[in-house]
Amino acid sequence: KRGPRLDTSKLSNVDRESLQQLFEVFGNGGEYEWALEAQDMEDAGAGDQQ
Amino acid sequence: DAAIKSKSTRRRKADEDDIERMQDDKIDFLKDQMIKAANLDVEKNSQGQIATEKLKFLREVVDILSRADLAISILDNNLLEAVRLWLEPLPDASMPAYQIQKELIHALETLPIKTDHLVASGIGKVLVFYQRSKRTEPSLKKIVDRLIGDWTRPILNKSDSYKD
Repeated sequence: KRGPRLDTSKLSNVDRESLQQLFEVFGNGGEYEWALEAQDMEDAGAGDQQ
Repeated sequence: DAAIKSKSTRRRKADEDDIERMQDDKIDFLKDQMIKAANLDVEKNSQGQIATEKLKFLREVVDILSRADLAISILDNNLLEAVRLWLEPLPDASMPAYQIQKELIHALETLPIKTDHLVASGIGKVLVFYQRSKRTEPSLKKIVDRLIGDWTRPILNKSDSYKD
């Protein structure tokens, strides 16, 4: 489910710092992945039953 | 005259410190209560019971969060960490009661939240969850999108300002 890996090789140090801060603030998207997956599975199951 | 003035200035400073301390204590107490309620709801949900602890004192929490005079104390004492716990999905992946989502996300709009507060509380991570979940009410999702945009901008601007 994860997106493509970000190529950070061309980023300046300041960009890198900002990117690091964005990760610190918003996470890497994996924090609540378990809940999103469980919701999707449950909703798909409910859809199948209808 | 100067002595009286200096004494009254000191007194005023002491009064301000007292008020600040009282506000911090109030927020600390609320934070503890919020964390306890969140943990109880997690426990209840794990046992297949309905989680109602947070709902029981949502009003009290919202009343505090909406007080402009407490905003600095709320942010400095990281009450946002407890708000994050309240917004987190429960063990069965269900969202907290809609009333909780709505009231707390609306309250976030009124606080002068800075990047440091976001890092300390993890509140941005849970809002990304609301942004990504298909179960988030569309009207709430709009607010979440806006908040994430507002919180992202200063971080990116810092990067841009070096390029100018």
